[in-house]
Amino acid sequence: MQSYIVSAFILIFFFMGLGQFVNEQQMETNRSGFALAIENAAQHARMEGYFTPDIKDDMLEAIEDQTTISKSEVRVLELTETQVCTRQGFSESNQIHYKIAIPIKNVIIGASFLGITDAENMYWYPLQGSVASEKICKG
Amino acid sequence: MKEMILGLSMSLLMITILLMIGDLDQYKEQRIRLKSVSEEVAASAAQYKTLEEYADGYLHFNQVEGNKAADFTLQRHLNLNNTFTPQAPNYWINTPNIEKQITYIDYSNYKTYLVNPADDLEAFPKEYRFTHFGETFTTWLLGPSVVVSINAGKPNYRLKFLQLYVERPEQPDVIEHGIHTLEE
Repeated sequence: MQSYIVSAFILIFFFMGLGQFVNEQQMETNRSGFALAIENAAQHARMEGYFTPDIKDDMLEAIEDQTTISKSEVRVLELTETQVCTRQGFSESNQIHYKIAIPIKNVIIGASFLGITDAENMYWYPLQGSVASEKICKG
Repeated sequence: MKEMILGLSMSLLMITILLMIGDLDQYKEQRIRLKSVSEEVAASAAQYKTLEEYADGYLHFNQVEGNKAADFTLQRHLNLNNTFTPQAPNYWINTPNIEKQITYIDYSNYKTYLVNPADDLEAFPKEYRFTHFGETFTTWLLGPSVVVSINAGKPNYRLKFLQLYVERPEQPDVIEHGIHTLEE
């Protein structure tokens, strides 16, 4: 009976380990899908000179498609939404900036069983960068 | 008692394996990110050209403006300050300075087919050998190109024995290369 109880207890940990392995893969898929969506959107923004409402919507749609995170959870911290034009030399004013973060939830599987709250069991994964505008403005 | 010891050692082993998988996955992810950053830096440095030569039909990179753009892009993408020290939150937080090396190859190095077909050996496409951070690479360049290498230092592992292993001086640094070619 004693060994029964102990092995039942160990078995829980064993399955938590297996679940955690799957969870790591899931989180990695989320992060890489997010990075892909952001980089594609930034290349589109480069042509238009800024993140147009269409590009922004497409980007959020792509994040929703490629990850398990819904559109409303994405945190846009910094985004160039007014048009900037290309110039001959380098200037910080012809750069398009972006800084976007997604929540990565359920870092540890079975967290409530271990006494970890949902707020403690997540982190924000931010990605930031700048691309130069290629838009030629008249005048 | 026997089961208890066995069970505890099993859990310890499992935690170690899980951390190792997580560490290596994260390292792979950061390397892919570094690769895309190096390509982005190369693309940003390749944007500026000297106008007088361009008016004559030769593309020469404006290296002063290109270097400024490359520095800015690198700092923004990897969250570095002005001295290229990583700022938290950052995977490369243990690296004191992230270094880059940049090589411009344009029509001041090689000519085009169009100008002088006899100079076939001196024209693009060209097999070019470049040495960045003491390593020599050979690559085919189809046109004027910017080659960027980023040295991000050692990987950042949570597991102590992995970290001590990669921090030995004979272990190589994480270096990624990016090439941007302007084909005309």
